[in-house]
Amino acid sequence: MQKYGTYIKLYIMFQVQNIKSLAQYRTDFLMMVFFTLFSQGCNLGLICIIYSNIPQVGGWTMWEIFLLYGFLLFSEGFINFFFQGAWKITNMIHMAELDRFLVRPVPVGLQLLTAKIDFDGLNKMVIAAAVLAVGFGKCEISWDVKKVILLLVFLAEACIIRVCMIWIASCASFWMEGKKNSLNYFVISLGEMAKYPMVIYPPVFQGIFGYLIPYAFVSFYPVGYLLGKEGTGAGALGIPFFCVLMLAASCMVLRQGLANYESSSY
Amino acid sequence: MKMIEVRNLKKDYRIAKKRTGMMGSLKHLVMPRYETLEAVKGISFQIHEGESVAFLGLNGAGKSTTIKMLTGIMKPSEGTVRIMGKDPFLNRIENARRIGVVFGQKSQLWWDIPVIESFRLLKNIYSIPEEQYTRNMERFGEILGLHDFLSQPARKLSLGQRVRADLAASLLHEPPILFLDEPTIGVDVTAKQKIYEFLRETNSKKKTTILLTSHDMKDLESICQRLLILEKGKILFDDTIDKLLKEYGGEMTLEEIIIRLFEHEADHITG
Amino acid sequence: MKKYLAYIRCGFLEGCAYRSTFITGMLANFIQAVVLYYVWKSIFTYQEAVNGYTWEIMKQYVFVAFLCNSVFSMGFEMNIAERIVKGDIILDLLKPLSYRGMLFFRMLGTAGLEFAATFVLIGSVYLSVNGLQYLSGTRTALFLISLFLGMGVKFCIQYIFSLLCFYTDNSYGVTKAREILTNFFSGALIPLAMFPGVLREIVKYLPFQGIIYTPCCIFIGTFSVEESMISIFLQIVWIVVLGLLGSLLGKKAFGVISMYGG
Repeated sequence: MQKYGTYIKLYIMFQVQNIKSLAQYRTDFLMMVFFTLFSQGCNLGLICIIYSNIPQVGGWTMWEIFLLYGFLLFSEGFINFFFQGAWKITNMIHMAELDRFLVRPVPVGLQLLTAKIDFDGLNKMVIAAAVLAVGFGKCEISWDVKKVILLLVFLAEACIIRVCMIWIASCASFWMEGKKNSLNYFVISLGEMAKYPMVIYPPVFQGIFGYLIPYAFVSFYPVGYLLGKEGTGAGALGIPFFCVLMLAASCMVLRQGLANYESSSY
Repeated sequence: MKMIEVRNLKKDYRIAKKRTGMMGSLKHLVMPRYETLEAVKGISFQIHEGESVAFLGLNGAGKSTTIKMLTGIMKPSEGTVRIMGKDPFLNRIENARRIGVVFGQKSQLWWDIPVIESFRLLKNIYSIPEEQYTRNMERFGEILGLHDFLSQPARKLSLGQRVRADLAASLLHEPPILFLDEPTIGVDVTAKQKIYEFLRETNSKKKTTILLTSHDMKDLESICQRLLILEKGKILFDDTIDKLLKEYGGEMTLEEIIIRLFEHEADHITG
Repeated sequence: MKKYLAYIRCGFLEGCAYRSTFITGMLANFIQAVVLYYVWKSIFTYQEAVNGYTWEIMKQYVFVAFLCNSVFSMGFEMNIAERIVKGDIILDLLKPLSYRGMLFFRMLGTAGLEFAATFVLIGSVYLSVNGLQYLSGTRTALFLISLFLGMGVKFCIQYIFSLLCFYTDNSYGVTKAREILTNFFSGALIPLAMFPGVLREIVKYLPFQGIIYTPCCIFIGTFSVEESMISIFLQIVWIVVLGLLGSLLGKKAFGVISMYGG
C-alpha cells in the first residue's frame, strides 16, 4: 500500500516538473486556447446545422447528442492533461528513449504516462463541462444523489477506457520495428462514431464498436442510461467490466511489449 | 562476491529486408521480408566486486546489446544474466536501485528543467536520504565541476557538461555497479580527464564495480584493469590489459595490439 | 524541373515507407464518411428531402466528398514540426530549391499513391451503392480538373498552417485545427447548401469550398456547366491569393529559425 502512496507522490512530482517546463511555451498555450475553442465550435456547429434541418437522428434530439459529445470531449481533455504521455510511447520506442525509463526504479507505465502534459486538455475539459451542463439543462432528467454519483462514475470510466485504448494502440509500436505507428491517431478518429447513437449503425459496426473497440461504453451506454433510453441498461452495467478488461489488457500489452523491446533507434 | 554473472547469453534481432527503388518499395508494401540477425551469440563471463571491466569491439560487435541486457532494458533471447544474484529483466525495479547507467549518446536528465531539479527528482525517485544527497552533491560538484551549470536546463549544456551531469546523476544513489556505454564520445580532453579521475576514485574508494564500453583506448587504459573483447557477438579475449600487453612482448601499444587482433580475426574468417 | 521530379519520386517512396500512417489516415477519413452515411441514412428514413437534397444525391455526395478529402490528406505540419525540433529544417532551407516547391512535389508524389488507393476503395464502394447511372463524361472531366485545383487550394492552406509550427510545438493541435477548419468550411461533412442563411453567405467568400464542395457539386450535377466554369475560375483565383499570402508569411516564419540556431 505504501508503494502506491510513493507512486502517487512521484506522479505529482513528475507532473509539476512538466508544468514548470511548459512555462516557456506560453504563446503556444494561448494559441491552443484559440484553436481549441474554434475547432470545438465547428464540431458543435456541425451538429447544430444538421439539426436545423431535421428534428432528430435515430430517436435522439440535439441536446442528447451534445451529451454524447461532451462525454467524448471530456475524456479526451482528461487524457491530454493527466496522461498525455500515453501519446508519446510511440515516439519513445522509436527513438529508443525508453532506455532511461527502464534503468530507473519506478514502474515504466508511470514514467510513460507522465512523459508529457498538454494544457490544451484543460480547455477541452472546460468546454466539455459547459456542453454537458447545457445538454443536461435541456434534457429532462430527474436528478437525485444517485444519478449525480453515477454521472461522475461514468465520466471516470469513460476516461479510463479511452486512456487504455490509446495506450494499447501506442504500445503496438513495440512490435512494429522501424515503422511509424499511427494506430493511436486511428483509434482517436474512431471516436467520430461515438458522437452519434449506436442505433443508427448496422449490426456489424455495433458489434465492433460495442466490443472490439469499446467506444459504445465511453459515450452511448452511459448517456443512454442517464437519459433512460431503451436498451442501454445492460450496456451501462457492462461499463465497469470493460474498464477492468481494458486496464488488464493495457498492463499485459506493456509487459509483453517490454519483453519485445529492441532499443534501437531508427 | 560475484556482481555480474552471464551464462550463454544470446540475442537475436528480426530485421526487415528492404529492397531499393520504386518497385522494391512497392514489393515491400505488399510482402515485407525479414531476416534474423544474431547480435550476441552465446557469451559467458563473470565480474566480481570492485572490478573495472572494459568492453571493446568494432561497431556492431554486440557491446551495447550486451549492456542493454545486463541493465534490464532488453530481454535476452536465450541464456541467463544475474546481477547480484537476480535476473535484471524480471526484477527490473529492484535491479535499477543497484545499478547506475550512463549512455554517452543520450541524456537521462530531464531536458527542459534545470539540472539541479533533475537531481532533486532523482533524490525522490531513489529515496536517497538527505544526508547522503548533500554529501554526494558536494563531492560530485567538486570533482566534476558541476557548480557552473547546475541552474541550466539540460538542453543548454555542452556535451562534456552533460556527460558529467549524467555521471553524477547515475551515482547519486551510490549503486554498487556502474554501467557506462561510450561515456566519452565527443567529449573534449579536459572534461575526459575529470571523468577518468572521478571514475578511478569511485572504483577504488567506493569499491564500485565498473563496466564500460568505448572506442577510445585512452578510456580503457585510464579506467579499467580487465578487458573483454567482443567480435561478431562472441568473446575474443577476456583477461587483464597487462596480460594482453605482455602476450605481445610489451613492445606494442594497446591500440596497435587491438588493430592486429581484429585484422587477424578478419584473415581467419576469409582464409 | 528534373529536381522536382525527383521530389515526386521521393514523396511516393515516403508514402510507401510510411504506409501505416497513410492507411490509418485514409481509414480515419473513411470512418468519417461511413458515420455521415449512416447519420444521413437515419435522417432520410424520417423524411424524403432535406433542404433540396434527397437520399439519392446524398449517397453520392458522401462518397465523392470523401474521395476529394482523401487526396493530400496526410498533411505535412507534423513532419515539418519534427524537422524544426530536430533542427533538420535548416537543411531543407539550404537546398537550392524553393522550399514550398519541394513540399508541393513531395506531397504530389504521396498524393499519387493516396489517390490510387482511395480511388480503388471509394470507386468500388460508390459503384456498389450508386451504380453507373449518374456518371457523365463532361462532368467527370470537369470534376477531375476541379479536384486537381482543389488539391492546390488545400496545399496552400496546409502550407500556411505548417508555418505556424515555427511558433508552436503542438503540431498535432495545429494539424487537428486545420483539419477541422477545412472539413467544416469545405463541405466535407455536410453540403454547404445546408448551411443556415448568414453562414452560407460567409462560406461563399472563403477559399475552403474549392477543396471539396466545388468538385462534388460538379460531379453530382448540382452545378450547371456554366456554374462549374465559374467555380473553377474561383479556385484558380484563390490559389493565387493564398499562394502570395503563403510567401509573405513564409518570409516571416523562416526568420524565427535563427532564434533556434546554434
